[in-house]
Amino acid sequence: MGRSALVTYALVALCGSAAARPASTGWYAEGGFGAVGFLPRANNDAAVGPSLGVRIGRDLFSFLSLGITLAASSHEATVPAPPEGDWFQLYRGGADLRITGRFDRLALFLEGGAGVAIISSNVLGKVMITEPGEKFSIAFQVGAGFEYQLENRHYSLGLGADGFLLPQFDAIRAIDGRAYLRYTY
Amino acid sequence: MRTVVPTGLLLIGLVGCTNDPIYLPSPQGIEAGGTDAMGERVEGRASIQIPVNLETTKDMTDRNRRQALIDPAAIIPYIAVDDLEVSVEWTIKNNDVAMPGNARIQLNGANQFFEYDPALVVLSADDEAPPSPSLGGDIPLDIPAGGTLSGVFREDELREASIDLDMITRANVNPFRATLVIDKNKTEFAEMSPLMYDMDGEPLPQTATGLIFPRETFAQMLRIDLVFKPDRPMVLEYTVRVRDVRGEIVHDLAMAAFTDPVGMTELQPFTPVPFAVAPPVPMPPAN
Repeated sequence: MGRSALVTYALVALCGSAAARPASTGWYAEGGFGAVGFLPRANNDAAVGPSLGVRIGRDLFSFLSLGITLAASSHEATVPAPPEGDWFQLYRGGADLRITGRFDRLALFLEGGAGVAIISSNVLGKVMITEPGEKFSIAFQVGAGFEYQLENRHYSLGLGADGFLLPQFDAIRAIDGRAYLRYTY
Repeated sequence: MRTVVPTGLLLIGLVGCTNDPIYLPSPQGIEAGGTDAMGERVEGRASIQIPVNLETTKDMTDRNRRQALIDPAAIIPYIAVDDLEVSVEWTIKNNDVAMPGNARIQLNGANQFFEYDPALVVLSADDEAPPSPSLGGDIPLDIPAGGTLSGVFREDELREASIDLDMITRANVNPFRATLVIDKNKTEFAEMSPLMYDMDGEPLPQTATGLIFPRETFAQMLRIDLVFKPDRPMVLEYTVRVRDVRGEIVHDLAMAAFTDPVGMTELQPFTPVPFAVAPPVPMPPAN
């Protein structure tokens, strides 16, 4: 009982925004960059690589928003040679929901969604991560992060990390960490 | 911010539009360098054919339209040079942990018309004449004891080899001339008269016939043949990397297309003719 009360209080606190710095709500866009790193066992076959992503969406409420994301990352394939020093790209797109709690100029969020991922080559076929002819996978992702609201109510800076799972690509899992700028119209 | 999102989307789109490579790994490593019953070093041979989709009606119509504009003797192939960019990445492992070794990798191959094997091309009756050249490689490589060495036949080297192969086989160009001259940027080459030999079995000078092959008729090498010649037991592993520049030429299943029941029916069959040249056998003197 005590635990559920604590969760309730926490949710109320998260959703409360009376004392928060003014922040626009509505349609928004985010653009950022970061890095994607694979978790075991795929981390033996693909190195950490730079990523680039955008997210557009709409705040349904002050604490809940719906978005679509597009992201691309580039990785060196570290499969047994040959090939050696070759790179591949991973493109991801999907829809997600984000729950945000604001504490003055800081906002914490949790997000999760699903979409599709495309791999640019069959270089990971050598280690059976992709099957012959396989280029697409469903993608599931969950993540968290925080935003810093700038003086201008339209802008905020954020840091986030998402873990994603690609079931068709031998269920590889990875972490996408990013810094971004958000503009709310 | 209003320009960040469109720019980001455009950047991602552009990255996604580049022709991505397809990797064709060797089924297994080539082991060579042991000795046979005669005490000779055993060389290893392997081939990889690029799985090419059946030519579409649209492509065939376009090819016939372009063919009608040039000399009908200069046949435009289904897959021309510049339609594909091919490279071969390799790794040699020296199985001898006590002694460093030396190895050569000879690159040959076939296009849709001819296959080239230097062993079938005899340019002189002189026993001491140098053997016919390969289309690439054949450079001594030092491999440390128990160690590995990696390298690559680059895309421009494979392009050069493709053009040399076509010049040698369809245009009768002397293989030494074809391989020693850089032809990869040529816009055309001329057919030469067939190779003839003098009484001593030495090749005679050739003359141009007047038939010109423009670049769009240069045939792309579609089969990669490697000859591995180590001086001690070693293993060669390789992967052929193909960029489908024209698009939708290479089968999506890659090497699995050759064994997939559906994939097999979608592959363009090729039956290249072995290219062979040899001086006439001298007639025995009359008694």
